[in-house]
Amino acid sequence: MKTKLPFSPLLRCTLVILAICSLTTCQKEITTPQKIVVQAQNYFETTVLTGTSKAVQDNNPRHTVAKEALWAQASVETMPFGEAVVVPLAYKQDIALQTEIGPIPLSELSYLLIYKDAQKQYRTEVVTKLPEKNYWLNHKNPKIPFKGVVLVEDWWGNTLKNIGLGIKGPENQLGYVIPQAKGQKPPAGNMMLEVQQCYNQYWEIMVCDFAGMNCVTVHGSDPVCYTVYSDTGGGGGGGSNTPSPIDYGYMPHAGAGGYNTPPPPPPPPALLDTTMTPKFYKNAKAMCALNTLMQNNYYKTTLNNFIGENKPLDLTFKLVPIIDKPGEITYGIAAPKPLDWNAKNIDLTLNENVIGNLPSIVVALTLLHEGIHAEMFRKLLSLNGPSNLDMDNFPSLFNMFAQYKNAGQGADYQHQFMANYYINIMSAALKQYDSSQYSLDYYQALAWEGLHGTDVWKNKSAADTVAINNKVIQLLSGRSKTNCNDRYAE
Amino acid sequence: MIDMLNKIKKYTLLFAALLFGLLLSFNSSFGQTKIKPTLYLFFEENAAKGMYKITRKDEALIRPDKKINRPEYEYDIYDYEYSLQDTTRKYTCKLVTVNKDNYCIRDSSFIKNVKQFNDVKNIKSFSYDTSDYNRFPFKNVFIVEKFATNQYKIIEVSTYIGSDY
Repeated sequence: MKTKLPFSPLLRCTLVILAICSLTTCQKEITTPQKIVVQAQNYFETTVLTGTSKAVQDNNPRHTVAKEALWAQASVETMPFGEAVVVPLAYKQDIALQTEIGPIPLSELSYLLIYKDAQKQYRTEVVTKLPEKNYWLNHKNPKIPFKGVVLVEDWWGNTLKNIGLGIKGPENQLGYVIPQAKGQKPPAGNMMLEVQQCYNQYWEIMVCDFAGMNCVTVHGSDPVCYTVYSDTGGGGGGGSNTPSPIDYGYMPHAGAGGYNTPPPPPPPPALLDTTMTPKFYKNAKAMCALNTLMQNNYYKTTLNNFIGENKPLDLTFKLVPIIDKPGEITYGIAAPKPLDWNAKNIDLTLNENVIGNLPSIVVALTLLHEGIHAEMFRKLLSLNGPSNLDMDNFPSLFNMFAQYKNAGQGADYQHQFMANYYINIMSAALKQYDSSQYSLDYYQALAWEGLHGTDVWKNKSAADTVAINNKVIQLLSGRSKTNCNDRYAE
Repeated sequence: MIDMLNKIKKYTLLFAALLFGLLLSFNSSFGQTKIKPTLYLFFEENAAKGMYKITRKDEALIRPDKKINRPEYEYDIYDYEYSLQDTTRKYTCKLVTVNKDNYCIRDSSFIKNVKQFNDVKNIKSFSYDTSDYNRFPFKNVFIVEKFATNQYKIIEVSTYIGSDY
């Protein structure tokens, strides 16, 4: 026997309502690429062009030559941070990057980028890509990622950020490459000074997407300081030989000199959490020692603990005159700033008064020594001070604290900790720094500097300490004190 | 019935005794919580006595992204070199000004409250951080330094936690 379902009319009604609902849901607004472009164009023309910003006042032809956005050729591209409108640019005058493989029109290197940031606000950027030679020779292959320097500016030429992507040595740069150390001046002509790069041996930069949302650390080797120039292709005459204000790079510059009037110091990099004060990154020896040390995995890992927007602590490299009591010379200091256990920053300071008289390997040792302190401070700050150390959080540091805290104030237990656990790590890093010019025991001897007050040192026999001190003398004798020249056999 | 009354009496007494004991123990433990004294520590810059004063200045630090924005900051470190009876080893106690601009001047009548470093160096827990409230034996530490004739500068300090190499 079949029975009719009593709710069937109700069921039918429900199904009809659901169908209507689903239809309504399906009528979600479909945003076509054309619509995105139109919206971006509307924003650009009503907000950016009519805004109060003014063109940057410099002689850089990229800024002085009028440009136009070619909206008819605009496209929507998917970037790591979402959809963005890419608009080709046309320049009112021919302007090209002059390279050894021929001129590259600026219009091929620059484009307008409009996108919405995480707050759904429009961002407008003029992106200029200065490619590396190897990239440019293969740039028509879409599978090859861009390599070179990316200059990001607003429509009016104000720098927003400069980004380096997979940069190799100067031999790969297009345009004019001027080694700074040789003091050469820019070639005559309609020059615009584009990028000054001064990476000694090792460099590391933070590379971010255009929205600055996803950053990764890129590093590589690069033996000289150099400046990349491009020119306007105007055929000479009428231009000024004076370099225009510099588009500074993304990593502090060693400031090796080269001009009678050195350019003004670049500001500290905005995207790097590890900050350097101008004095520090203008000091060739400090920068060389730091950049070379960064080849060492331990040091790199240690510093990476401080890098990144989400890291709770910042590390600031400083170079200042350190005053100490009479008869004592302090090479460096690591200290939470402010000087309490709630600090959010650690200063790693080198002594400006002595750095000129030190071979760079001693500067590297100081950076290592203080870097280890910084790492200990990082742990201690996470506990709001050593009073909260215990066997469950940092047992070996706790043991040293428990054993040596009563033996003196300050960071004595940290030196005891270093003497017990870090001599081998420091000596390996110093050997690597010095290109293994000596055997490991010499670098172990050097690593003891600053730790002669520890029990481990005091328990050594007199013969051992004399032998260690002699090795230090031998290791440091005859070393150049100019920049990083002590790293090479003289 | 009498038995019952006796029992009630007995338990009431027992309960009262327990309550009294509890109160007593609470009171005695409460009574042991001392209010820590403030230490006024004498300082006189004198290398022969192992007392040094070091003035340092941190430059202003402003990062373009404004994540770090520190004004210039000057501080004094009061450095006491000392040795303990059981060893020939030299130790150093470094105390740093909490706020260099915040000090007061008192006359010599104040000096009788002031301790010499030798008076405190053997207090075992004195070597803990001033921020280690549970173990450091004083509530606050003030340096008392001769400022002028019959005038003493009194300024608050805390343990210097930096590592100098």
